[in-house]
Amino acid sequence: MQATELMDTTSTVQSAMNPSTTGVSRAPQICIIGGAIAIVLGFVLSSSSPAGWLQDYLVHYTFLVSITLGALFFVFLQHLTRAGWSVTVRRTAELMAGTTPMLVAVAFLPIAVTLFIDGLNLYPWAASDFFLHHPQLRHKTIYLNILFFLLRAAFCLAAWWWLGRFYMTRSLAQDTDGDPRWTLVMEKWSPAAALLFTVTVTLAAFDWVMSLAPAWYSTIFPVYIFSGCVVGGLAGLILILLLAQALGLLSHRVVTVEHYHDLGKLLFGFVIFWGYIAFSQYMLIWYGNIPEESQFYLPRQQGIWLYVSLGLVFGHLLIPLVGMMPRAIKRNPWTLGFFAVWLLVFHWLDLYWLIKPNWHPTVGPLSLIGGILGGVGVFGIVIAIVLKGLTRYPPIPVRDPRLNEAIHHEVV
Amino acid sequence: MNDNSHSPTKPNSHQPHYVGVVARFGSPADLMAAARQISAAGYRYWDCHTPFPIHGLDRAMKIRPTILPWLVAGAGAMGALGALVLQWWANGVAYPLNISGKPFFSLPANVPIIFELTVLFAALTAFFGAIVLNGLPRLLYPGSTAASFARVTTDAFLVSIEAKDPQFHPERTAEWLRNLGAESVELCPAPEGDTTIPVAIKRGLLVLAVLALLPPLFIALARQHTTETPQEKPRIHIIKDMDFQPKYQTQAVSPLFEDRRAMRPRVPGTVPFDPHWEPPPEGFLTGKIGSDYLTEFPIRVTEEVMRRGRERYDIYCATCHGWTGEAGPYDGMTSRRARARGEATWVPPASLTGQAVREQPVGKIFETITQGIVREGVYSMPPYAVQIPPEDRWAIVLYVRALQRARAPYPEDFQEAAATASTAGRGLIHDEPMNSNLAKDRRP
Repeated sequence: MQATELMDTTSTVQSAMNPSTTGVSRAPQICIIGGAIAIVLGFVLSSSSPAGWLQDYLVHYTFLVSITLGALFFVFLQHLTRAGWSVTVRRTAELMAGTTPMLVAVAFLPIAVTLFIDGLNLYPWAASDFFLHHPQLRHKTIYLNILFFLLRAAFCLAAWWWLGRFYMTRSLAQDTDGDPRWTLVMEKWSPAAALLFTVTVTLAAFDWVMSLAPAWYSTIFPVYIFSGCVVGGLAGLILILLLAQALGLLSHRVVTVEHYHDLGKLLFGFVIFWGYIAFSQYMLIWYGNIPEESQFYLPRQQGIWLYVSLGLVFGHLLIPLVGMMPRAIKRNPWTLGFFAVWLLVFHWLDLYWLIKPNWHPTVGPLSLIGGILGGVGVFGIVIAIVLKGLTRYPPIPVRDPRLNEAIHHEVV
Repeated sequence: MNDNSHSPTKPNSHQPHYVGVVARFGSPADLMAAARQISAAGYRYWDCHTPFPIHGLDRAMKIRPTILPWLVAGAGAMGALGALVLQWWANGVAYPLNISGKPFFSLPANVPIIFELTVLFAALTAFFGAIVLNGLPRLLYPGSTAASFARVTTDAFLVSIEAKDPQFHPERTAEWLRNLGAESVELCPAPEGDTTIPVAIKRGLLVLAVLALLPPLFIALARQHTTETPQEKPRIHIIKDMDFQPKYQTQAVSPLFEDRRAMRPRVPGTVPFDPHWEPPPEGFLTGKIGSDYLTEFPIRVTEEVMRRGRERYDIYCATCHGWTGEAGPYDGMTSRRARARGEATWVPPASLTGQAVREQPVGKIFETITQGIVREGVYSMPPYAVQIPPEDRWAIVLYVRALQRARAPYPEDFQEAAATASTAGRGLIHDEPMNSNLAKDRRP
């Protein structure tokens, strides 16, 4: 029995190694060109001022970062838990986390540069006279100053770069020599990776999103950002896996309905986690009802933002909560794919809702459509990068010691 | 049991000898193949036993999907609905208390309870539903008397068919299983001796059940009293609520500090936090100048202060004094409940709109809020200096004055009311600047 199963695995892996690549070679180019067009068109639609573009840019940038961070979380989580089921989908996540850090780092530059331009600068605390007019926040200057901000950003970007590359290169090295030691190395470092990830996500959440409102206080905020990251990362992973299989890059024999079912359950769980954290933040602020906290929700409960807020309650929590609950929904690629797209859109909207009301008491439909278009473009570029990676490298960790377990994985 | 005990009408007189048959297979694959055959043959009371879960065995056995998810979903929905109704009834209808100015029935405050009860109901249903639907607890499974059953958690892949299955026939079924590729087939004899629960154990359980009822009975008796028969002592606290807290009371002794005072004095050199702070007007903090109570408000009386006063009054005072400040049946919820329970130590609140308080100067009312009322060495009204800052205490005094005047209006109020009645739609508080009469301490 064991022997036949292993032979079966070998033939499966061989078929996975030589996917039929007809029509695949152009897919990354199409995605990248389409993505770029969508981003530019989105900018044109959403705003006509450089300040507006920069604000949209920040939304798109955090969207990009959150998807790659969600994938990174998925990768080290598998090693942290010594998971066997996920080996065949891990390579795609490794590529999402390991081939994007350069883009993530370079794309930060516009945000860094505009810090020094008073008219364009996104962060109010970076303006030269900000603390003069807000003496009650003066104690924050030791943290909220441009130099320290850039140092922290460099630390975060370097950490993510290193973590992403670490897991990708070790896993690829195992493809070549088949040494199980690589698995042990990746497992050994996963707790440290989790710590580094936690610290950097916390810093990035405080710095890049929350410091847009320097007078606002909420200690749970980085957890909120983290929960959104995982929702975005898992939804992105599911979507890219489905796409790669549709293009014939990834065999249906290695990534089966069982893997999608488990990924769907993880995504479902983190949707609830997001709702739990979002409500925890809201309820405490609602109950306390003090200005330094409630100032965040006040503009988001007025005008069009009220409907966006309600849209998040339903679209990011209640509808997927009920919709993704049945087992059959998660085991059908079409319905699971639908919810992956749905949650990606609402994850983007979540970031938009966090960032945009800092400047705009209201937002027009055109600007919202433009924004979503830009988000689609950003995800198109992520798809392009990962698909390119899937054609360049073996699409699964072919000599992972737990590969056999993953291929025969079945949800009991 | 012996052959004589069988009813002669039973078609199969061999059946009672055996409670079932157990077949052992060599590998999961053989077991799977056999399972397909057995389910195809139409057996109903049978099962597979393996040391570990075997993927696909459920399908081979044609086990129908369980209805448990629906039960769990239903129980979860009931938990959510129950929590919502419970909170709506308790906070919104039966016991409305103003908690920091929030609406009596407000969804954000209810979500945690809704969430918890949903999870609780769903989890309990999943746990007990799985047990019940699996037919547990089952002290004796027919197949478990077979010798091969001892290895079922190590290396045996077994099929058991119960004798109660309509298709069961000891020899024929055993032979058929052997033909399916079983390595060994055992017929399981009925366990020897009496398998019913001994009478002594039944009686013992009954006694235990009765004894278990006694503590709740005593508690119920101890808590049993009505308004007609008030108790001398406070009631038994089964759940401590927040009545007994490990905390220091005012003026208590603490061994922690050198001066043995639990209340810590202000750190020397402490300055006010507010940079715009100015020393308050005379009497602002105490309600009196020298030994004379203030008769005029030491703050500027505006509509905003009145609104603030109403809000604070509803939060801090209405729980005992009631929404209108009148004594008696219109007391607040706390007072009504204390009366209903016949609490001997409860002192009913004084009427704020009665003659006595109406004749008090504003400074006196302020002082009462600040210091509380001590009767026979016990606070019959607790001091509120800690909970309510002085400016809010003055706002409450102002609102109390408004309540008094609503109860005993001046003649000119009727004229004003008649005038405003024609311009309909006015609320409780007038939109024009406050009537100066109200600000003054006029005694009717």
